[in-house]
Amino acid sequence: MKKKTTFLRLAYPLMITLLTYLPILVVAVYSFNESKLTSTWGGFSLKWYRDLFADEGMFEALLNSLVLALTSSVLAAILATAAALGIKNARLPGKRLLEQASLLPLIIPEIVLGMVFLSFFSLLGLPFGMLTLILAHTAFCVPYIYTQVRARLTVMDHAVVEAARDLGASGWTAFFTVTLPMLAPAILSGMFLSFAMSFDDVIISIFCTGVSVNTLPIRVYTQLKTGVTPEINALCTLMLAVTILCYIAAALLKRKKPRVK
Amino acid sequence: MTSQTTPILQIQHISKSFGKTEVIRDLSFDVAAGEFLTILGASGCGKTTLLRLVCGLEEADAGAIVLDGKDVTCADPNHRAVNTVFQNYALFPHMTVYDNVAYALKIARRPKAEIKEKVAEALSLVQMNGYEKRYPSELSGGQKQRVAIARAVIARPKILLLDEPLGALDLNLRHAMQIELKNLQKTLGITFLYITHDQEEALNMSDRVAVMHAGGFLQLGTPSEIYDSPQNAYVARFVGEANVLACTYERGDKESACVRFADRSLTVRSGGHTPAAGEAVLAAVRGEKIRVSAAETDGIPATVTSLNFAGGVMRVTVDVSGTPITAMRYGLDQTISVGQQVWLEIPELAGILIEN
Amino acid sequence: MIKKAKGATLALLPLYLFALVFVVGPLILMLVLSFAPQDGWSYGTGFTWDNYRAVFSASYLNIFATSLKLAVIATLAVIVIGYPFGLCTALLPGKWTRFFVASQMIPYWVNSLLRLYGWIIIFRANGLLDQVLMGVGLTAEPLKLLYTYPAVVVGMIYVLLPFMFTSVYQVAEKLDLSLVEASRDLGAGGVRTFCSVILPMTLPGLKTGVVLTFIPSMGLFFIAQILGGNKTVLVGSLIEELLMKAHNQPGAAALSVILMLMTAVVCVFLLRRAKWQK
Repeated sequence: MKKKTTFLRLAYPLMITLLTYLPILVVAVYSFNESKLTSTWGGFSLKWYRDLFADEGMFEALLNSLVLALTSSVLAAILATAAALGIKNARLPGKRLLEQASLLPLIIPEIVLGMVFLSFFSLLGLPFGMLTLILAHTAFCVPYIYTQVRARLTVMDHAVVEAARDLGASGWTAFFTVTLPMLAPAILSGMFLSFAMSFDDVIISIFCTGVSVNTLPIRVYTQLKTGVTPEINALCTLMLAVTILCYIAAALLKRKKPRVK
Repeated sequence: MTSQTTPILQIQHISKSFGKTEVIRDLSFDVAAGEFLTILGASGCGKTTLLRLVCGLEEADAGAIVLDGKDVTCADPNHRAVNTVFQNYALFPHMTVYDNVAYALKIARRPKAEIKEKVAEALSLVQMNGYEKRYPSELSGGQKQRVAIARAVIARPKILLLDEPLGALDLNLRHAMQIELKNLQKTLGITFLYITHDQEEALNMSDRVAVMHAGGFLQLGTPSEIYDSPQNAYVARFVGEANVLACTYERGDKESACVRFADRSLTVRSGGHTPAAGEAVLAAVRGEKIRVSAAETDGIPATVTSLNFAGGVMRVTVDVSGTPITAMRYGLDQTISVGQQVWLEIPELAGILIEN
Repeated sequence: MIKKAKGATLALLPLYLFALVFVVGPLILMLVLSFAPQDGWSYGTGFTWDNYRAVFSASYLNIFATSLKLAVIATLAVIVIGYPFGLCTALLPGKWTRFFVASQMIPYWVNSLLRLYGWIIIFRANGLLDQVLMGVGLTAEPLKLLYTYPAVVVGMIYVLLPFMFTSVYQVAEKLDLSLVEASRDLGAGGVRTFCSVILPMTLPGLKTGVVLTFIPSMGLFFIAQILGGNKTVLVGSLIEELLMKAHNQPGAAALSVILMLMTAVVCVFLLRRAKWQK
């Protein structure tokens, strides 16, 4: 009886998971297809992987995307963490309003964000490229980290920081030895999320990039609109493989370290 | 305690307000080196704020705090040779027991070998050796308490502040820890400033007890002074729930006095009070000093209103023409029942006159 | 938490200024632009209602209606699929929970466009789906799903489902199962228990999920382009075209203002908190 219900409860999530992976698996299978057409199977081949590795434009786009996602999530983490720590006792006019404003990108449609950034950057006369991309991406990364850090701060036992001060730590030492390590899970999970969002962003990037800088999503988007080479099948498969490997590595690392509440 | 040596801590006329509420008003007292001083008070009396002022987590609005001859009123907590055992332990959840205890020494950049040795010593002091690699989440309440104590004493502070350290423990453990803390204080020779709302803890462990109420001390003295000779109704009622009787003063001197209560004459200690004859006065009498008798005596007649049997003690609450009085009797007494007429006898000098 | 006012102010200042310049600034500019007259390839100074008049013209309203319809369909579908998925996952034994959460997070790191490309392969005329269906004998003719409305809907659901899943899962995970037992103990049946305990307790997650699904769904123009062959024009596509092709910033700004107002209404309506949620 018990086994049966467990199976029933498993069936539905398993089905959805399968559907989630269906298009990725299809792409993965075709990435080894000798034929350029997806309608025929021309035999096993690694030639699209060779093409991918030889494609400098694709490599540059990947690098740009990594730099962009890393820079904006780190910048956002610094801005958001400092602000979350200061918001309560800071003396700035309309600080609560500005707090709400910094969270707005979370609930503004991306297309609107893209539009306003485009107009704003061109009004300021900023050169479109990496700088504008980083500014825009930082703006939409902040809320992901800020909300996480605030939530962690509200449940955190502040006596712990006082204990550090009492035991002889200066304000900065207490911050680096106690506050920051205790906030780290929240900051990291926020950064993780914003990195993924930034790395995958098409809409805002289209509006904020110039002619010179391509990110990976933009390059894929252009290809999908103009004509696809099976190279991107290989790219998709590689990204999946790398992600799965990272997850396995993270899971193994977690098992080693005892869990801290 | 001894008054010849200079006090390790001097609190001089300090005041502290949060917004418009004055939490501590013009408070002064000294703590002698090696003393175990307990500040006893109900929640909200300002005792935790007082502690935070001493360790530097709050800054006094007025007055001075002198620690071992040095004015530390405005010093940061890390520049005071004072450590604290926090109410809910405040152990660092992301550090092992070893790292928690070693924290103060690591911050002070002591050599590794010394740290190792001192941590082992501190942990053995609280019988927590072998737990070095555990995280706080893997410890019981009592164990966390021990680690918190080890962490606070490792740097040998001039004063150890303890903020209701036993509050979260269950009764049995609390009793055991009381004895341990007292022993620890003797072993280390460190001055303890201990905060609690539990009068039993206060009377049990301390050299001196201060009863705190509404931001000031109502009485500061040895446990027996506080218990036997309360100076006012609040102390009398808060410590050991004494009966406070409204009497009329008849005559007396600095030592003893004769007062009238319920048409009987009582001889009480005068506690330094010498009012005029006929004046209304208050006398405090401990419940366990009052004898209740079912057989008629020439004591005060009263009616039993309730009986409570708790452990070895029976609380008999009686009514004496409108005044409720509680008496303690040891052992279960079957001869008394609710509604019965009884006679109370208050021995000579059992009571004491207190401030009106 | 930083206690001293000076330090706290210094800590807040960078984000304060950043939000002022890069969030409030652009939004004010958008509002101003939406009233500015279009002037050749740029915009002029002055005040005009023209841009809003254009928004409320029949052809634009039509596009709004199409977008809204698609957004509602996609959101409903995501609720129907994602809510039970999140709930099931949270109630399963721990190792299965971890497995499903990870399996929903992993594709997140694979470019969403690349994943959508998988659907192109599947939906293409005489592609995988047609071949399978005709092979089994379910259909005689190829369905040619690519570049149709259903393909766009599938793409939307596919991209938005993880948001609903995570929102529902995060709330359902904290569900106090003793309440479910208490409800059953009080004699409530399965359906009653669901309606009176589980649904109200997980409603905040569902609402967050709806917000996170509905808001982007009006703007995901690239899905309509890739899977819908631009046959379905969404507000998002319109804004993109006005900006990138017609260089009509005031027009795009007016559309954005209206779009933001629509999403704001949805947010305010959904994110109002019930009294018992503090």
